[in-house]
Amino acid sequence: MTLFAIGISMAIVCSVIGDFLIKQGSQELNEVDIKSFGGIWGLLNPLKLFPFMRQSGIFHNWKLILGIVVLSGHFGGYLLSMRTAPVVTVVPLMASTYIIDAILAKIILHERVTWQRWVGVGVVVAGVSSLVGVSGISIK
Amino acid sequence: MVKKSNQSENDNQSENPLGEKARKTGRIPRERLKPFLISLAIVVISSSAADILLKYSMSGNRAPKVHSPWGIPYAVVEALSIPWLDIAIVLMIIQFITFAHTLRIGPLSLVVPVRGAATYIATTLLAMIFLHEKVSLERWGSILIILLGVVIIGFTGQGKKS
Repeated sequence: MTLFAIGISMAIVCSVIGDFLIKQGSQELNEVDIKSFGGIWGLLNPLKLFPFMRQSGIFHNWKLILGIVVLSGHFGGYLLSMRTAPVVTVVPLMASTYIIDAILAKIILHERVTWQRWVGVGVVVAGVSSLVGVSGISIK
Repeated sequence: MVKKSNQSENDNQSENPLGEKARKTGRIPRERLKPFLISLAIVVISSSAADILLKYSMSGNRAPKVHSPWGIPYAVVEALSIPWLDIAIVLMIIQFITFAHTLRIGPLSLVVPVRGAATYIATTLLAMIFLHEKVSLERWGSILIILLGVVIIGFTGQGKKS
C-alpha cells in the first residue's frame, strides 16, 4: 500500500509538473520554419531532426530539459504503481491529472477555462475509467 | 481580488504573443488553428504509433532476455539493435517536439486532456489494425464516451472570428 501510494503520488505530481514545465519552456522556443527541414516527414531523419532541435533552442531551454527529467520521474512512479496495483486502479487515477492540470492552469497560468471544458474533461475521465473497467476483465 | 488577478496576469506576460492570447481567451487564435490541429494530430499519431512499435518490438522472441541486473546494459544494447524500437524512439522524440509546439499555441487545459484522450482512441484503433487485438463492444462504448469528451473540449477551443 505504501509503495503504491508513493508510486501513484510520484506519477501524478511529476506528470502535472512536467506538463507545466514543458508549457512554460515552449513559450521560449525560437520560431523555426519546418519547411527548410523537408517538412514534418523530414524530421524522421535524425540528421535533420537534431539540427531542427538545435535551431529551435531546445538544448538550451532548461525548463524543457527539466520537464523531460520530471516526466521520466512520472514514468518511474507509473511503473512502480503498476507493479503494486492493478491497471484498473492506476489508469483512472492517472486520468485525474487532466482535472488537476485544468485547475492549476486556471490558478497558476490564469487560463480561461469555461464550464463546457470542465464538462468535457469530466466526460473524458469517465470514459477512461469505464474503458479500464471494461478492459480489466481481460487484464486480470 | 480583481486587482490582484490583473497584477499576476501582467507578471505572466510571455515572449510568445499568440500563446498569451490563447491563455487569456482560453481558445486557439484563429490564425493558428490549422498549425495547431496539424501539430496535435502529429502528437497523437506519433505517440500511438510509438506505443504500438514498443509493444511489437518487446513481444515474442524479439525482446532481449535479462537474467541478472548485470545483464541490463547488454539487454539495452541488444534492444537498440531492433529497428522497430529505434523507429519508436525517433517517434517519441518527434512527439515531444510537436507536443511542446502544440503547448506553445494552445492552452494547457485544452491540449493535455485532448492529447491524452485522443491517444487512447488512436492506440486502440492501431492495436486493432496492426496487432490484431480484439476490441469488445463495451470497449467501443467507452471509446465513444471519450470521443464525446474530446468533441466537447474541442468545441471550447475554437477561436471566434474577430
